[in-house]
Amino acid sequence: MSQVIQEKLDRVVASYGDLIFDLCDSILGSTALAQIAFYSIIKKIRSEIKRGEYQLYERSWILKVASQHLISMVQQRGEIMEPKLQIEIDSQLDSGHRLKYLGFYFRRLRPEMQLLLLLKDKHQVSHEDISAALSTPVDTLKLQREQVLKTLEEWMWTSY
Amino acid sequence: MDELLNCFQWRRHVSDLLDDSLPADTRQEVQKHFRGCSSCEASFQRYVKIVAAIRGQSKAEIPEALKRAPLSAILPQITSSQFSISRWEKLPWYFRVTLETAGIVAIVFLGISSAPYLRNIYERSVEKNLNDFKEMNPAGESSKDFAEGSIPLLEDQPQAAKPSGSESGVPPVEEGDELSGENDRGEVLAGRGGNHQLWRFTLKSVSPDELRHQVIRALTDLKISDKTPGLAGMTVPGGIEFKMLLPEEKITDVKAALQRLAPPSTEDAKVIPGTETFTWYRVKSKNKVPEGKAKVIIWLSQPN
Repeated sequence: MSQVIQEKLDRVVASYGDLIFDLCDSILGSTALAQIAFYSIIKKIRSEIKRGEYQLYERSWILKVASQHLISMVQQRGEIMEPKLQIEIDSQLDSGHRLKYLGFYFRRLRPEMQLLLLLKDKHQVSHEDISAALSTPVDTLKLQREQVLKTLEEWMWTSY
Repeated sequence: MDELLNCFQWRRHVSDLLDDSLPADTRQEVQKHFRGCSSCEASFQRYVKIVAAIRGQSKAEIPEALKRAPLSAILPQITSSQFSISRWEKLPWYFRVTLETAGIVAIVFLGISSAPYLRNIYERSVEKNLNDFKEMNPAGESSKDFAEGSIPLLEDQPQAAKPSGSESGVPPVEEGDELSGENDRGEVLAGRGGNHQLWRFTLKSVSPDELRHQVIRALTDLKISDKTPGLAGMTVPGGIEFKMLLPEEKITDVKAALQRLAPPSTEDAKVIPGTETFTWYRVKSKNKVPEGKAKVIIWLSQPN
């Protein structure tokens, strides 16, 4: 029995390990934290496999577990930059030059929105899989994508 | 689509436009809108740049050890503060603010309500120290002096004032100071008395406060140390009282100095007792005073 679980887990890590780890690293902004998050996600996946909750739509299921864990971790960290500091940093960069510091602006977004952009634009995950992972209808996801891009555009191209 | 898309409508298609999955006719409508609206086109171009930047980001690679054995790899040590917040911070803000306000109010209330209790403890402590001091000096010399306020007194200490009959301008007579001696009229005062001298001087002036400073100056001019307990005098109901222990050899000079300070008496003063501006008498006191010293009380008051 444990052999079957281990095989499934190995397959998950082989197929989605890089994706999960990149999500962890991009969202948490630290390799050390990413390793810990990755460990926790894999542990969670193993316990779900043990409980027989292994899903047919493997990709969506894996992404859902990872997304939920990362969102919860970001919320626990509570690292939100104060608006005053954000304005200070913005005022030191010319609009248009801020694209070089995309990561800095990216982390100001809510974790759900970060995941949406990462999955859709960095990893080319389909809307359907993202919809299942984030428990959000596809049409809503599309609108959210437009809104989050608009937000980033305002942050990066507004002159202060 | 017959109508041209407006600046809000085209945004619904941004996601599909970026993915190049928009139907051809809708794409044409959007392009038509862009031709007439440069700001929307510029906005879309920026979206494209952002998406391209996200796509161009390097992908983090999973460490080999973690990939081989994800559940048994040695993980980096991090402090709990790096990704956890306290239970207190997890509470809703309105709950925290209410609790914090209640805490501040409770602390203030506790402070106010405990002040009398703390003062009581302090006063008991002072009283206890005084009793201990008295017990350590059974002869009663120092303790008596201490109790009678012969230590340096601050001005206007109400607790030190115990003027029996001083309301009427009559200098107080203390227990143990029996009238046995003489006065400025040459009368002999009969009484059992003691062996220690007590001199009482009474000066009457319309302004005892002004006279007070003159008395202090006169005493210090007589080389009486300004550290002498009681030299500053104290305001008590009915007047100002100086109570001091002075060297016996200084008493004559003190008497003369005070006499000079006293305002001139009227003619009536020689006839009507109690209207004199300067009177003195010397009595024997049972209250012990140090050897070579005399107890001097100077009383300043307004004329009756």
